[in-house]
Amino acid sequence: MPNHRRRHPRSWPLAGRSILWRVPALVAVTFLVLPLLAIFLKVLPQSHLWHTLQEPFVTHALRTSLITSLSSLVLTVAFGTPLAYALARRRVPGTTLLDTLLDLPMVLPPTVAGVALLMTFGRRGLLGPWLDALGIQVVFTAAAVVLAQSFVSMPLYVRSAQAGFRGVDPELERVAYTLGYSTTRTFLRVTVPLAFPALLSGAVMAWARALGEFGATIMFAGNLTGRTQTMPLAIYIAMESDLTTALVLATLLIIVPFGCLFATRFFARRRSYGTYA
Amino acid sequence: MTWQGRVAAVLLGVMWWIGVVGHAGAIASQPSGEVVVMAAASLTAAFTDVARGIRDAHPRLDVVYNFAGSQALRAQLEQGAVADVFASADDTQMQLALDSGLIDEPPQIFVHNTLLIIVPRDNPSHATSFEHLAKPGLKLTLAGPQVPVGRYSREFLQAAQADHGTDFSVRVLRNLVSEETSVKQVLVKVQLGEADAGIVYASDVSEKALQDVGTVTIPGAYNRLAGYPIAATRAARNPSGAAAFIRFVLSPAGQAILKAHGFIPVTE
Repeated sequence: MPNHRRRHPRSWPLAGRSILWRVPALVAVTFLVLPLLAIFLKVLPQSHLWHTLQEPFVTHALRTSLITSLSSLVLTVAFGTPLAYALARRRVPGTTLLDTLLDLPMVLPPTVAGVALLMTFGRRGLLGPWLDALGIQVVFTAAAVVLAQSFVSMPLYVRSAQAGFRGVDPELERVAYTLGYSTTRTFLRVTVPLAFPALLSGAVMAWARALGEFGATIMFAGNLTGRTQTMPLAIYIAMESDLTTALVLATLLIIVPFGCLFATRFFARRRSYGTYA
Repeated sequence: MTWQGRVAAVLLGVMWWIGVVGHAGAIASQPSGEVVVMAAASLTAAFTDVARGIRDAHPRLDVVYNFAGSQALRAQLEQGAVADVFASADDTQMQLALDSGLIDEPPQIFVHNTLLIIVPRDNPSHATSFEHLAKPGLKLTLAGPQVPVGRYSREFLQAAQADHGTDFSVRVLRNLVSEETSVKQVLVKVQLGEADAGIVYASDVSEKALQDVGTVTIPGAYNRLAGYPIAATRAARNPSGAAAFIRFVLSPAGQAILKAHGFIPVTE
């Protein structure tokens, strides 16, 4: 009876009533929220906030971040969706190993991701000679930023999309197919709409993670205003010269992902309520 | 016991007492405990050896380092990081620390350094003279303008404009592909061959670094003589340890270690 608890949010599970549970829970919430609040409390009394937002240092970082993170989102969805579908539908030997490997970039320290990308796409990296022959240098370009972001954020999308596709009954796809839909049309008209909440939340999570990428970016893409300096890098640099700018950028990087995550969750919940009704 | 024996015993006792107290006094005046030193990234190798040298002079002193770009260290100090000594690669960061009250004793210049251009061993852009930094298409990394070596690098480009055209600096900076956060990051980017050239301190080009990079000299007329100031912090938890560290760095032994690492001693 999953609906029961939903309709009566006051009927707490037994353990939740005890003070022994409430106090640590409260400590955890405070610990997670207070530092974010601290930034706002520091930033709000500052004057010239609007002025700071218009500084070239800030606007360049904003633009670089938007362009690169949206590009990495496009790559993530374009390549991650087929992968997630394959992982959801096929059980081949070694799936567990593959699943674990694909999750790895999410938990790796960003510095490891940075070194790994340098050793792959760098001039003296694994693919370096081939890229060089084609006249392509990746390091120090916006493309390197996009690669670093995609590397750490794609697994988030794949994981979520995979769960979404698993939730779609293959029988429905088969019915659509036997009724004359092509495989592509079946996928786009039946599978994707049914898995959509999971795809959307995965995409938003991946985008937010890409927006926040720092360690791999500074190691692999370098740091140049207007080219590779994203907002997290700009915060790091500004901390050493102008704290206000760092705080303003940090505030943006809290508000924007919060808005996106909250909106997705809000719509996802409304949708799930809708199916219960 | 005879009276001579008593006198001898008393004398022995007095001598023992003097010995104990005197020794204890000597120990008390010996700097001891942990001394936290925030030092410019370019000092990493040299100061690691300095810690070894100090261990011989003050065995009870435990030196702990935090190496980073001077601007990052100054920012950390401002945010409340605890340290006993601040060794900066330029006056600007030291002055900022003085202005914000983190330091209240006059800093002393303890060593000098000069700039050097580095290129990857295979030198893909064929840069053999500092003027080649302006070659179109060369990928140049410098430290950011807030980093001491980044500031010195830009000053060198400005100085060279007198003889190489008023746009020399602009033409060179057009080749800039990344502004690194410390001199060591500039070195790494050239060592990896990702950048075609970079500007570091002469002291950064160790024998080990020379396995991966070649050097291009900067004429003395344009080169900068970077003076490194050092001072104990106002909030030092171990002032005697901080003083002992600074004394050692300025001593002939300390200066010799710095010289061995490619720095220019203050005495020269």
